[in-house]
Amino acid sequence: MRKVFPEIIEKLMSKDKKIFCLLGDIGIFSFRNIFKRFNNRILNMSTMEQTMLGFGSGLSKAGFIPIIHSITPFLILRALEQIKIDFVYNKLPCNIVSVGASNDYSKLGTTHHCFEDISILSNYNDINLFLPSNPNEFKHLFEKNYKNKSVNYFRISGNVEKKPINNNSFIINKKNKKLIIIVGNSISSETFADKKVDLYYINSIKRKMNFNFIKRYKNVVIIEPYYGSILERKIRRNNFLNTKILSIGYDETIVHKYGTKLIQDKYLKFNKENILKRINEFK
Amino acid sequence: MENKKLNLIRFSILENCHLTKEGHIGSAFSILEILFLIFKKYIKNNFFILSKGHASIGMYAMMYYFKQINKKTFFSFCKLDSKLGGHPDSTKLPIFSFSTGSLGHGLPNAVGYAYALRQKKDKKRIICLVGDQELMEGTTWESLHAIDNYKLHNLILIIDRNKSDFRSIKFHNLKKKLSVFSNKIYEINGHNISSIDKAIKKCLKGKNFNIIIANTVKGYGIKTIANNPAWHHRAPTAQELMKFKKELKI
Repeated sequence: MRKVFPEIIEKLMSKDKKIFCLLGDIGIFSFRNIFKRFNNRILNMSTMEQTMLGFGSGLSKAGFIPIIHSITPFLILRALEQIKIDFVYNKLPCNIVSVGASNDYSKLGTTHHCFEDISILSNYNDINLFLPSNPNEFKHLFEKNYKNKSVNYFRISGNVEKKPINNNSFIINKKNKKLIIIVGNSISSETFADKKVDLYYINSIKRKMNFNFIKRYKNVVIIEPYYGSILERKIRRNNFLNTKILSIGYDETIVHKYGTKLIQDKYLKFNKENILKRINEFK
Repeated sequence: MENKKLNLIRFSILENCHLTKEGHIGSAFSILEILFLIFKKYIKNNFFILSKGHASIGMYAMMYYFKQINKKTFFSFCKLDSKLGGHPDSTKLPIFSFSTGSLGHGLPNAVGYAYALRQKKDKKRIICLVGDQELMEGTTWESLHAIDNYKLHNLILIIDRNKSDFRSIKFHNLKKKLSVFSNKIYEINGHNISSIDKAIKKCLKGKNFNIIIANTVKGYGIKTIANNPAWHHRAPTAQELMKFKKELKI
């Protein structure tokens, strides 16, 4: 996903002169063509994340479409007040694109982790949250939404799905008793290909979401690749109180371990085996 | 003549704050002359950002004095459906270019807007008024770096130097520190309209990024309030209001 991002931007910038790209000194080499072609519409603002967002708000006020990109904790945690005030409160549209979701940078330690982005940003219903799990899906979501006059957050992370699933939709819908809801790249849908479950995929968390399909199920498992049971919260607000829900996500704790993402996920019990074990135990 | 007008404006602020029991009077009074001049001469052709949003009642009083809002709107200050909150909300009235109130937001907004105007070849200037405590925010210095790097000469920064740092870490040699980012810094008496006007005129003529350090007194105009930390966020009682009215000779 990270590789296709500059390609998507370059193509859009050549068509849409309103687009402005602000970078927090990340992936600069991969944006080299854009620097060559549109050097006054792409700025590497270095590590001044808070000012970069405030600056983006100024551009947005003047009618430009800012795309603001950096590593998740620095973009979301450090500059949260700027997101809240400069964009959400001012009702100024923008596209915030983060890289390094949850523990993607597992070996770099907690300073570079951000498990809490979705949980925090979901407090503002005004922000559209996009969590693609395939590069073409990201392309589809970005091209469709970048000028929707809203505050958009795109979470670039690992590729999990082989094929893009462009919208929130059923992957398996065979009237099984149990429903699994996969959010973003938490686990591959292939994991459940031979299981007797229905499968629903979510890559867009928005103010208005239709959860009526939940009514059909007594047991629902939600798998979310971050802190907090965001989907469960949204579903409960829709009064599906008779539905038994198991939320599987990362435990809300600071990680003092390293290793590859696979190994760290196993340690954090957010790997395929542990997820399946918890689902099987859920009656 | 201007003093009489300013005293009327001052009293309208006191009266409003008394009625609603809200408002940062001291912060509003320190920038009243600056706001008066901006509203009288410069706001039409330039883009104004009040970064020190807690002084909003000063801006609302100017809007009322210059007939941009009516009496009912002015005295709706801080009521549930009011367009005039404790800090300005840009979604309520277009004159509030950005919602401010959290320190250190207005200048980064101004810098992005200045870049955008230059990109659009729009000749308007941006006047951004910040409080001196905003100089403690990292975003202010990040913004100065950005202004310097992007050579944003269409931006005028006015600092309300009302010495809010008396109670905290001090800003020693402010002018020297700022001189790294601008070679045109005008240090003036922020309560002298003629000095403010001269400085803004020079900034508008200038081709560089200009800074005005306006030395002011927090709560200027009322002896009890001036430089009195107890009045940072306080509304006058009915008795105090009468006393201040006499002092203002209204």
